[in-house]
Amino acid sequence: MENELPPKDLKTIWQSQHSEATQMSIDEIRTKAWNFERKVRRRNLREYFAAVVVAAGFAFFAWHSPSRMVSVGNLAVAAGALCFAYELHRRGSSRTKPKDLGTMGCLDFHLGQLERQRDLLDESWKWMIWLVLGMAVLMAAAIVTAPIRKTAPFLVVAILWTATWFWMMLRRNKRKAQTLQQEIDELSRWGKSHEAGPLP
Amino acid sequence: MTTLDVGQTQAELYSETAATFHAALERLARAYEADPESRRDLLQEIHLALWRSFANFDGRCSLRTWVYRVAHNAAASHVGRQRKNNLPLVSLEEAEAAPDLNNGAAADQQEALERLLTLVRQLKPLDRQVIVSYLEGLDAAAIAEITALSPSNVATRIHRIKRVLAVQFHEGGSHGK
Repeated sequence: MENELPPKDLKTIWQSQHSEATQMSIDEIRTKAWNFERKVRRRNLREYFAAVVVAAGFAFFAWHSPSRMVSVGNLAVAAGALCFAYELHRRGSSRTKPKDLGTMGCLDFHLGQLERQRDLLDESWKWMIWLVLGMAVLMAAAIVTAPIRKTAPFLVVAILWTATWFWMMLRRNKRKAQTLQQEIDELSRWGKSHEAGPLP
Repeated sequence: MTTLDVGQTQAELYSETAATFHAALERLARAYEADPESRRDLLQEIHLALWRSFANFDGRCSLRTWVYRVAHNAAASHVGRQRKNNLPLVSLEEAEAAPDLNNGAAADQQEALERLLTLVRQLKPLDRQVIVSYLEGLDAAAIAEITALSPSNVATRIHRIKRVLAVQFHEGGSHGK
């Protein structure tokens, strides 16, 4: 075959690619690493601060609420905000560490990434439920205590809408988590098997 | 293979890596990103990941294995984040069964390289990692260490890679006719 390029030649072609990027100096890479870490720290601080402000605000309303039901609703939303901050912190600290990139082989790293995504979807209800319950209780309290009964139908619709949204989110996340689990199972089987079939 | 002293500092390890693997890392970034701007970002991301990882380098594996693992894992994360807008990735077997990559024989080295890059960029992460390592001239044992696949798995993948390359680079569109 005249135009055949055997793999050996392709290796040569691959390795003879011309370089177009300039190398970074040690000082440049140090500055970039420092900037990167500062960016992550600031983002985390912003998120924690926002969650604390929301929680404090709803706790304040709970303290000064006219009825116990409204207080419960406000406290549930405050708890939701704190749960959210905790989850952010937990997931942030379990995020890939620089060391993992070098100690984990590509297969394990890929599996780890998929598992993290699966867990995020699978456990999303834990921090969402407090916010949703809080909002639902607040709306229910508004119906009970509303001086103008005309607003009641709108609030009922709002509660139903919130519940439907929550249910649909849970279902969607569950489905996605199941798909990821299948991918994880296939990849684990494939990685361990001695006879490598098609990559899942 | 690069020799190393575990007592080397982060800066020394990085300098050695940048000097030895700069071109290889650039080729690796090309395998993951077609767009020059995104590729520069990815290459910087890889260098940053390497710098940060060297704070914990304990010499349990060779420097080469460490560098390739960090680079591939950082690149795969990058691709994962950008995946939403990209075309679905395929396995080696699917690539082998898709003859339409070729519109005739590769006229020159540049065209062959473009084809090769197109083929590599459409592969799923693990297949991409194996093929890039193969093209870099690493043997099956080294690829197994980098990817954490069993050596027999790597041997099978390499056998398939050779077949795919043979199919894709045989007289252009002759495959499947």
